[in-house]
Amino acid sequence: MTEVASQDGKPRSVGVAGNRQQQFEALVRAHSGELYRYAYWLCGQDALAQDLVQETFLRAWRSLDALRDDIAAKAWLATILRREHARLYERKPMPTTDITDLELSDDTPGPEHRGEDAVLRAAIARLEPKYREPLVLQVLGGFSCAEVAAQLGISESAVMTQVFRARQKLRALLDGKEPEAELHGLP
Amino acid sequence: MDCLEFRRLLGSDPQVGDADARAHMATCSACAALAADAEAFEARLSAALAVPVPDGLAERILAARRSDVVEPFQPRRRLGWIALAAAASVLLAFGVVRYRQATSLRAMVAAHVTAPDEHDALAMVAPVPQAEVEHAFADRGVKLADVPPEVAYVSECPIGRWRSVHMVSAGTGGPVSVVYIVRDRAEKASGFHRAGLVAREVPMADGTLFMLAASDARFDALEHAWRNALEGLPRVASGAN
Repeated sequence: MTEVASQDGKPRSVGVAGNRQQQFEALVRAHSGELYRYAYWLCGQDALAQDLVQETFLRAWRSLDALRDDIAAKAWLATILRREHARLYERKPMPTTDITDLELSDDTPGPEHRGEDAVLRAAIARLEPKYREPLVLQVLGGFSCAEVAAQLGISESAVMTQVFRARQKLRALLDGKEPEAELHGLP
Repeated sequence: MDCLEFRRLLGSDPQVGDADARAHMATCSACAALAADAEAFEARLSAALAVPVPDGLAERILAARRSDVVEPFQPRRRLGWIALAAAASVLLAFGVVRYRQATSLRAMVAAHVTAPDEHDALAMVAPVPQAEVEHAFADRGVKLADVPPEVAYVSECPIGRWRSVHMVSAGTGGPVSVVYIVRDRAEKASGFHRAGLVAREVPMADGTLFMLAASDARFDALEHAWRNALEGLPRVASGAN
């Protein structure tokens, strides 16, 4: 038996034989939104992000038998998406590597937050990919530094440094300050 | 834990609240204030990263999976097991390569026609001169027998490693993006969904014709017109690059 997440997020068990489609559908419903957001912050384009998610799931479908539990599924899908992005990126460079042109419609709840979110999104988009990607995996994906390290194939201490600096850079960009000025600003 | 350790931990993983960190916060009001500030910043960061997910994304993925079924390899007669394994390996490898190429080409065509710098093309309605369309195909080494009407945009776009002619067909019912991939012929016609669009790929002459739109209402007519245009005359112009 294999555990997968249902639409309400609770794990349920499905038989391996004959329920492949059911397992796949549960995976898509549970993870497509989160993967889309990850893809968007990787490539910066709505259409390409959707394609990346679609390609990720098509590849996941062909390797579904290798999946054993839903906890592993999230990291597994994120890894497939990263590879797919790298493969497409290799063939077709993005029009903007640092996604400085935000094309998203900002329909976050509450008009008072729109401007604020837009400013922060622009600052996130200005981060170098080496800072942005681990931050996205940590904050959006909920992965620990150790898990992010395993995803990216770097050391845990490197991840800790990168997400630390990412936050400092964001705060500095929002405050209009130089990032290094706040690095060790102890009172 | 001192202030420096606490603030490094706060910056690298603000959700971590281990005993050492809590003990430090209880004795250091400055760090406790920073922790409260970090918590507020994390909430703001989470909200900003949570960009809106397109409506119907999961349904489109499930529909795409249904239209992307790979037929399993089934040998029809008995062979020696070594010969069978060798044949299966070759066919499987060829099939996987073709399949990977096909899915990535679909993705790249869809990404190209929906890219922000191509949006203006979809708004064009005035037909371009037939000579421009013929010229674009001739540059790709393809001679047209005819030029279908209502081509409002034509461009010789590279799509990854593929050479293509990208067009927009204007008409009632909305624009249709038409992309002809030169010298890479799909094995069979098939429909698929990408980037919120319905799409069809059709092997035609030596290449593949892609049509992508909000609706497939005009696909049959366009397929017919482009088959006449592309297969009505000898396919490759002599001396073309």
